[in-house]
Amino acid sequence: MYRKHRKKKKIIIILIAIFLSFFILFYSLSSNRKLTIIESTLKDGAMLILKGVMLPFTSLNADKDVDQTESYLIQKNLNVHLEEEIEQLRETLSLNQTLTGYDIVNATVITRNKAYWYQTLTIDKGSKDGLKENMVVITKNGLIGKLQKVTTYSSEVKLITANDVNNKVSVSIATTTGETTALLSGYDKENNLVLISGVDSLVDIQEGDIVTTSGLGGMFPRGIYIGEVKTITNDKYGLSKTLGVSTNQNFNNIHYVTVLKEEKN
Amino acid sequence: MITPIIIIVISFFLDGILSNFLCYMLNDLSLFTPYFTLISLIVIHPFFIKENNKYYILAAILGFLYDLFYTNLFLTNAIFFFLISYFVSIIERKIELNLFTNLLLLALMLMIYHLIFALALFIFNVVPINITNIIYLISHSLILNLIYGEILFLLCKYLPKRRHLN
Repeated sequence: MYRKHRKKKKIIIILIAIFLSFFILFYSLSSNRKLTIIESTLKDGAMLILKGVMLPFTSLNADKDVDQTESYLIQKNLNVHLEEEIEQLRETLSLNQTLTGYDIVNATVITRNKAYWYQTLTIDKGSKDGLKENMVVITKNGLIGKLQKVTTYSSEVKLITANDVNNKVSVSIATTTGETTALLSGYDKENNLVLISGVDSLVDIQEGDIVTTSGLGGMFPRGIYIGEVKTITNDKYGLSKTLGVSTNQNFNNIHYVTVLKEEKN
Repeated sequence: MITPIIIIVISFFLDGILSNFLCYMLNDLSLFTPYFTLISLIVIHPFFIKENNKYYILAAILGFLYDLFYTNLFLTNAIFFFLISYFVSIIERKIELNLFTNLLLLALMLMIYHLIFALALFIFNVVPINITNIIYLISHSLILNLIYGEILFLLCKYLPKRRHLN
């Protein structure tokens, strides 16, 4: 009798633990969760330790001597023919969301989030370096994500490959007939393709069309390179297309990133 | 007590190092996703045969640190690790550990860990997941972790205290 009662009690404890972990996980992943001071301090301490542990291995990296400002310059040069025009527009229209108007912060990736489902990186720069949530993160190969959480000495970067329902980026596709906008909505890990959905089926899109950020929504500046269209599939009703975009970026192998800070004065 | 702690600490940092640099060395991370912290937690259980409560506390603390260092979650792995340690203590009471049963135990625990995670994400619909993703994740985390688990098992087997306990 006593044994049976004890067994029942254990099962109840397990079930409570499982449901508790579910709610905590949901709370952890909610996009508007702010880090508490204790959590932030502990995280900073953990990142300092991890940075020390990783240091000998970071020196193995072949990219360590590469000039990190290169990523920003490459992104800027994609718009080089427009740069002059943009500068004039900035002056006359007080245009804010252009690539030319950003300060940059280069950072090293300390660790990659080990959980498969929510793709994030942790970098070694934080609010001490002027970083804030939602700032854009790029590499020389194009857009990789945005800052999700920022502590004093580190920041968490949410990658565009995260299949998160809150992770949508407005993109622009340069077609032969003009530009069309759509939403970057996921990642095909098997084929290493970024997926873009909601493209009007009447728009003529060809393989090789260039995809960049559209600047709509205000979070990502216009013109950051994402990739080239590789696959085009129609939905079963023929109303919209889903595009597979190949990027030059190997999302499993990111060691240095550039954060686009706020406006230059 | 000191031996399992050393094993855990080494596995914990090895976990982070390999996650970051395995892809750089092997050019493909997907087949070798390390979960060394979890594996070491399972393998060290025989050191705590008469001290299960200490083992559960260690598991919860380890999960908390794992979240802090590697996942950016809050306490989630503390509870998951606690659950896994509880399952391990139940199973190890009923089976005799050898290389083969250790292999099965590790594979089973890795599967349970991924399934609980996937179930939680499925319930709250934070990330769209499907069976293919889960199978992919489980199958791709087995190779490296089972090899590491077996190496740790053999290492622990020849440590004096563990042999005494068995």
